[in-house]
Amino acid sequence: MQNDPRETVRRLAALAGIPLSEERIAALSRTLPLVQAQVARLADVDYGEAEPTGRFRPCPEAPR
Amino acid sequence: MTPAEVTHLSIAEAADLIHRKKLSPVELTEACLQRIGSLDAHLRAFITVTRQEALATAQQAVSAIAGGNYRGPLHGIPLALKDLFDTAGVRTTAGSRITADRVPEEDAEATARLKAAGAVLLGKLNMHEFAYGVTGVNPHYGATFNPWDPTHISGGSSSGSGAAVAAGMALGALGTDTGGSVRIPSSLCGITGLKPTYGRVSRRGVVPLSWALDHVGPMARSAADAALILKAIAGHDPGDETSSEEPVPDYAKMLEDSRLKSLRVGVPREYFFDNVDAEVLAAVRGAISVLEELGAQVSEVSLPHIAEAPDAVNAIMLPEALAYHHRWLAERPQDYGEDIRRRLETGLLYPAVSYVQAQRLRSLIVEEWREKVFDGVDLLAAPTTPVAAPSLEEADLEATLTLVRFTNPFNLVGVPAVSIPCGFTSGGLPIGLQLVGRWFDEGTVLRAAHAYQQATDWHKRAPPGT
Repeated sequence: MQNDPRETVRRLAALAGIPLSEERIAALSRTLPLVQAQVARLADVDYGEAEPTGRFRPCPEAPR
Repeated sequence: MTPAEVTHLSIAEAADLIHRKKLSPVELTEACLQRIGSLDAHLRAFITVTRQEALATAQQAVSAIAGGNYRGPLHGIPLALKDLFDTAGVRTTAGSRITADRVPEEDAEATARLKAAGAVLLGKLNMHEFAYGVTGVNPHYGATFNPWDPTHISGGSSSGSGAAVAAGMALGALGTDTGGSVRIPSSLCGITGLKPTYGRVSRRGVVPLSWALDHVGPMARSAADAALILKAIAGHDPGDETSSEEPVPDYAKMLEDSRLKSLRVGVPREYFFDNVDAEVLAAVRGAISVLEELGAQVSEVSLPHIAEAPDAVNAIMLPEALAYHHRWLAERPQDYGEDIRRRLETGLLYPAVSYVQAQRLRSLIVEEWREKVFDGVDLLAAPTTPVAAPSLEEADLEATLTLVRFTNPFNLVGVPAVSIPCGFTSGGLPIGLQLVGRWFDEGTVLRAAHAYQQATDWHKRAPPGT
């Protein structure tokens, strides 16, 4: 699976239940290295104790 | 006053005339409808024009104001909505074939608030299909052309909003911004567009692209006009889980203080000035100098994790968009335009772990910017886009990646960001300056934008032939 991008894409599409033609699988597999690079960069970040959030709070103005 | 002059009034100017009964909302609405009739075949800003409803609302405004029931600065003002805001009884296509015949039963919260403020809604504006792109090239309803040069794109995804406001077809509009879709068309069309803080404006009844990143915002010809629209639509909505309970200030009143003497403006040291077109760079540097002349203290600032922010945006937006469209993509993929279909399919490639890491990165950036960026500056200043409007022939994936580069980090961080006109290229295309503030501090963002617009006239220029 790791060595054949088309097989990776084929399995991911099947897992998600999205039918793709061989032509579209081939096209999508050419995008895979770009996504893998993004995934690798995100994996490299030191997240510490950070937890996901969807809420923001005001930021008090800092003293001058 | 000629119809062309009337449609290029600011909202504040038109409101003053309406309030003093020197201008009729019906006359103003008819002037906008006339411009739509004469220009829209060339620009394709509208998908649906609600002529009869608009004239009826304008007539109601006349009667109400005559009876002493003036509702405020949007009463009788013709505005328009990106065609993903639900409108009761009026089809809401989201720029798609898939929902081409969808007629909502209820208004979106933002639609309802504009109606409550007495605004006259002219119709539904063209957009990039399902808001999933920033060129405004729509395979189902046609590309929206840039009013400054119709051989160039208007930008998107709020393409019709940008073109309609720039061309004087509406005095203001609503757009949505998931990676830059308010600010990019505002920059490319030479108008003012604000992405407020995440949670500031309700998203209920707005067709989603990415729940975590979607923002609703005003698009107008000045910061003062954007402030009036924002005031009307902002505020808590218990029907939107992400809606904030932060109180909404009187933005228009905050603009009265045009002094920038104590304002600290940070210019990003990295990322935002890399690979920028020379004319854009010169215009933005010039605009920052104007802010300095107005009294702002300008300094350089570093933004932690800025390089990873676009990766996080992709790792959130693509899976969320795929999740929303999953059933349609499985059952009727042929009904999507090819660019959207390809983007949705790309969402298959992101693992769940990256989605969660991206959400954690969001928290990390917010905390670090809170402590290390906004402890020393009140605003950030940067180009809105690295280039002016690409030509229609250039409107491809590469153009998309270029256009979102400076806007999508702020969707992740959730801070308010405005784009204002700050110059033109030698080819006559507008250039945008982006000002970014603290969470829920739209007032300072708009105040700085307004002060800049009091000192310059870029925002007063109208496209040729309009």
